[in-house]
Amino acid sequence: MKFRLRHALAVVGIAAVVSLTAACSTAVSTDSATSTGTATSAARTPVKDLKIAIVLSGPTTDHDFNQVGYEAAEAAGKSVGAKVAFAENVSDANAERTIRNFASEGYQLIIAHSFSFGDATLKVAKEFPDTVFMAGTATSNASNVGTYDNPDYQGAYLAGMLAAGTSTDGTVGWVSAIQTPNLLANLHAYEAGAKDINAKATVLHSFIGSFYDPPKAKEAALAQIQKGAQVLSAQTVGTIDGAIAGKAYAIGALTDQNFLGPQTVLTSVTWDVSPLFTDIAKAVQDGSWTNKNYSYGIKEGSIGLADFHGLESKVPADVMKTVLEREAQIKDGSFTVPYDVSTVD
Amino acid sequence: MSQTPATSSKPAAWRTTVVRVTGGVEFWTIPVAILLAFIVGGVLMVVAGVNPFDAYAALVNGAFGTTQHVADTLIEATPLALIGVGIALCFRGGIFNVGAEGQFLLGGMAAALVGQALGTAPSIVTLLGMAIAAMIAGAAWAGIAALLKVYLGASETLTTIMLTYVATYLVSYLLNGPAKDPASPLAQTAPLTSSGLLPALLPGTTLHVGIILAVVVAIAAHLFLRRRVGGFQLIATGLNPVAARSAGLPVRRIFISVFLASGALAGLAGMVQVAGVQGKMIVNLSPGYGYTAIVVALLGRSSPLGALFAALFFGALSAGGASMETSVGVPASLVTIVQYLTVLLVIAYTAFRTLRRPSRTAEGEE
Repeated sequence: MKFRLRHALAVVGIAAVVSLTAACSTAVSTDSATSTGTATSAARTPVKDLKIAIVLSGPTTDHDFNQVGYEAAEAAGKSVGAKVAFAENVSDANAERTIRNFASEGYQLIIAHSFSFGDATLKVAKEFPDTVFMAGTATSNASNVGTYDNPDYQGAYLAGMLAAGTSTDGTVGWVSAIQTPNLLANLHAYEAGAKDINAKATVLHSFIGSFYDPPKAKEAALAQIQKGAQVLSAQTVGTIDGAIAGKAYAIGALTDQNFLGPQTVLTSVTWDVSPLFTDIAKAVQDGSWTNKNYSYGIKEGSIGLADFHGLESKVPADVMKTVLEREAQIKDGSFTVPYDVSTVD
Repeated sequence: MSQTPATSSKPAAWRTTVVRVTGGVEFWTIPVAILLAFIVGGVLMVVAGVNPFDAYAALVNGAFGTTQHVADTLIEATPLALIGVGIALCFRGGIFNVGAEGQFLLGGMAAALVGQALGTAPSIVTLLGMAIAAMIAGAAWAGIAALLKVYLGASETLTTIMLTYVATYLVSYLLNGPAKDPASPLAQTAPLTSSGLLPALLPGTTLHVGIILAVVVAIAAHLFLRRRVGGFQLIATGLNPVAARSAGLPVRRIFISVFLASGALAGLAGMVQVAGVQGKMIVNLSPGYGYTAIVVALLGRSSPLGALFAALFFGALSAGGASMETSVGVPASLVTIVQYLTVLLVIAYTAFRTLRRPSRTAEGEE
């Protein structure tokens, strides 16, 4: 008796070919190339009963990028009297569908709070020209897509000064996610800050290749500590755990992360995006919104250093004094933090 | 006649249970299981402070409320059906290919690479090239596990899971290295040209032709099991490989073939996602399709048509769940609980029956 499974394989294969062929010959193929117009959009119609939606790549409780975005959207909604909805843990594969869902449900302002949602946002924005989209840390906009960034590179400069000044030999580390322009600016400013306080400072850096992978971040942190880093900048969740395990200091990011390691986290570079979201919500309401890049930094009070929670004593007094002087200079405009987004190894 | 070391003479209890789920369960148990799972989900919603009726209304609306939502349901069902049919065939043959996730990812990767290489060719050539490359990649990956099982007796449950890790890291390496789009900092390939994109099925929505492919594949596999000698041989092997070998069936060849077929289908599903949904290969192409499809195959009682319907059900839950989150604020993960609870209840019922009534299969167990 001859086994016939190969006949079935052939059937499946032919079926696949036939249905593809049939589909190709009948249906019109769509061109999904995304346009990235940069012209400034015209004035828009004011929006009554504003509804805001925010799409997050991780949980709203990560004490990091997603929580900052979520809380800012809630704060903006409260201050302008808008309803706020959110979707958390949205994977890149599902981002487009989630953004489209919000748009089709009539949300007039949709915030895509992840660099990796940029393409999906542009795609959906073409289908909903009357909806305002804000693509977080993205680089390309369209007539109804604006971008906003997190200029925490300004705070990273101060963090670099603190780290290199606290490390006895100037060796410090920096652990982050992916080489996005935003994070590259952060790294370069951190390095510049470290060199500012100690010209011989050595800055180690790691990109773990994912926006949310705590075990991998911890591993990278431990590797840097083994290479001599005494203070780490924690740009992704998990780094602080590594600093605790390796008995190094860490500087938190985005929220006051001292509670994650009360004896480890010297301070944190905090980011408060709620003034930015509130201004955008107001602009959508009164029709004055335009598709520019919105950026609120130290000067606007969005970026700053968190409380030291008693760990000031670990930072040499002269270093602390220099750091605070620099912060004041950035605020009054007499010092500008270098902005460099060139890629690194 | 040569020995087949992989197949021990006495099936393990869990194998018996799964094989029985495939054929032995009465049809009414599945709607009952679904109903029970929804009730438990409703209780969880009450605990979370949400009106379950509002939430389920949003779920139904999100799955079928508008043309785009129906499209979402079908788009989400397509990869689950393609992979699920392949896994169902494996289950029928007594093979536990739980590595479809890796086969899916490699299929997507291969499709994207071929799609780029043939970017200027006519659409039909590009798409066929992509589909064939994806099927070869998936089948080759499954083939490693098949050969390890047939010739070395390695458990395919372990090897397929391990190979999925290798595939995941391989794809991650390629997308962060040689295959990366230099214009983007993200781990993804450059976008495909229009000739590498699946045509739209329903203008005005994002629905692509992949669902037709899934239906055709499910029907073909169904006819194969019902009408072909090979299908009968596959089922006989799954029920009792020792008896099948004694009867002169080429058990090794059957194992290898069904493994290759399921790997090819998982790879094809990867191509459909790349060419139909993303328009490029991305590192997070799969929100767990390869694993969910195992559950789809089980819920479909390991029949190809059953897997197709289970995939449509899961697709509706998934599309509706996303909408439930955006409109009522219920976490989408609650839908995942309902999905898995349904299958758990079906399996629990079958296991309960198997244990309570010691049958000829139960007697053979250690």
